[in-house]
Amino acid sequence: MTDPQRFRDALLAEWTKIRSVRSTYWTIVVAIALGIGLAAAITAGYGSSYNELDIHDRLIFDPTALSLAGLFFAQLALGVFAIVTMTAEYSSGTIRTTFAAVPQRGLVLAAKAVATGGIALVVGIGTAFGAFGVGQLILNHYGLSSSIGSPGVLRAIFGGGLYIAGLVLLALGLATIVRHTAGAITGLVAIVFIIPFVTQLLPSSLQHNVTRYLPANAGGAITATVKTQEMLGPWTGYLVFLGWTALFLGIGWFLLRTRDV
Amino acid sequence: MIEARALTKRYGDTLAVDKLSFTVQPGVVTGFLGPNGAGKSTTMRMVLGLDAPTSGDVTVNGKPYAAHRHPLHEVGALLEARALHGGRSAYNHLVWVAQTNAIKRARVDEVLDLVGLSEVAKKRSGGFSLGMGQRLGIATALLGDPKVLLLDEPVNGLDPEGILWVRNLLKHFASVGKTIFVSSHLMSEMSLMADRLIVIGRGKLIADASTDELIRRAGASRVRVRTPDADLLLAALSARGIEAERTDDGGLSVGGTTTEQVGEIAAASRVVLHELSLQQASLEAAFMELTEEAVEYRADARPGWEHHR
Repeated sequence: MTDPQRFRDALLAEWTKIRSVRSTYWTIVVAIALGIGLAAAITAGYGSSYNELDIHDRLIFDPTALSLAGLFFAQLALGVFAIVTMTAEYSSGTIRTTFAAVPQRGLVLAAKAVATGGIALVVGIGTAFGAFGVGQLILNHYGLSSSIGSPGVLRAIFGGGLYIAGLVLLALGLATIVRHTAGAITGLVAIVFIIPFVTQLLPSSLQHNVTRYLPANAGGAITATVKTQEMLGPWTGYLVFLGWTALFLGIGWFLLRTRDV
Repeated sequence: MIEARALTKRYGDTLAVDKLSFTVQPGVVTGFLGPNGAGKSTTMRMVLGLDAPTSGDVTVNGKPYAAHRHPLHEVGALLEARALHGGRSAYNHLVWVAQTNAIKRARVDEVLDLVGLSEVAKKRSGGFSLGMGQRLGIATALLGDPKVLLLDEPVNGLDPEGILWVRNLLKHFASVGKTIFVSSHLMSEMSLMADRLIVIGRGKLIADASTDELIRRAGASRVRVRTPDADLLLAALSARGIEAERTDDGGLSVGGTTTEQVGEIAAASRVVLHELSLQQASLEAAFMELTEEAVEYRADARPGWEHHR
């Protein structure tokens, strides 16, 4: 990474790889559709049943976070996109062409991170704005909507994009470690959905101290505008989340440099 | 030029490459010969810095591969024919490879033209035949107009026309001073393509010589004789300690001698000859002879152990 020209060349090449396969476009379309479609479904569901919620649930009712909840599913599609940029090279054998062309393997990982993270950031922020708009339109129907000028709302929307970008980097790190598409996707699903679910089975005293530090929970705090007890603060949470991302990328980077291909 | 010094690769308790030292010179086609699983691909991956040697080292044009700023200008490599993303077109495949080493876009069209893939360049490479995949692999290797070409089994899966094309291409590149290192397990193909041969068996160097010398050294050439007085000639030959045997068609096959010597012995014994000719050993026979020396290897060879990963 000492040579900016080499990095620029590697990044251009990664960009060409990404734009020249169809799966890129599918995963992005699926991510946008999930993010915005689920925003509509979830806000419609909550809006129509708001009157049946108890007082506690009404107090923590967060119209912004609700409309951004679809991002938790959109993240999977973009995570798969990032995973495949690495694992498809191993399954097809192009990884040898890649490392023969760019023997500084860290440079390749950095280029892939910038390319996939950049795309995820743009798609994530765009989807978050779309989801927020659609969600508020529906909640407005029930008189429950929030507006973009309300405290924390813009941070939450941009935070949705930041969260997705971070998650995509975590997925890339995971894919670099695992090197197989199915294994890496399973790992991602476990990290994002299964482990947070399993920790709910822990005794409640322990649960709060564990759950909120998990990647998805810590990172997701940035999309909330109403803070609950179980959550870390938005930026604290995001920093913890970036720590996880750095851990996965770091292990991936170390293994990438030392393993035969 | 490629220089390997005591190059060694160990996987667990298997020595895939065992203290291999050799030099591949520019200007000639050097064949890298050995049965499947002999360690050829592992050696080539070590040349390219893809696999780290357990010990020893290898340099390309005086430096370790990874030390070259733009390695594709130094070495073009074909490792696997189908190392392609099936959803990507040949054109885009070459574009990204070119971008990694700041190779200009016009060169992509040049190599596509050179390997005859221009017309299908924009199609998804997943539909390519094995031969087309090989051609694209060779185009990829040629992108940086490298001084060294390293090709692992480049004629695998090619039709006779394709094989001829690769052979002529490599001879042409050797004639303009490039270093050509090409592996194969097909002796007959190597005899037509390679000027020099580096022969390995189970990771060890067996021979490093010119193709002609190797065939000679293998000593497999025999003199063929047809004569109505076979018994007389056999007796005359064995009296001089020359080994000979009858062949199925009634002729004689004489080993360890020359046509001149057999002719003189026949004349001295007043034997009429109907045929006297030198039977040049095929490279196949020379190879069998060479690898027989490593017979203890073959006895405990596990098939497919190169594909351990």
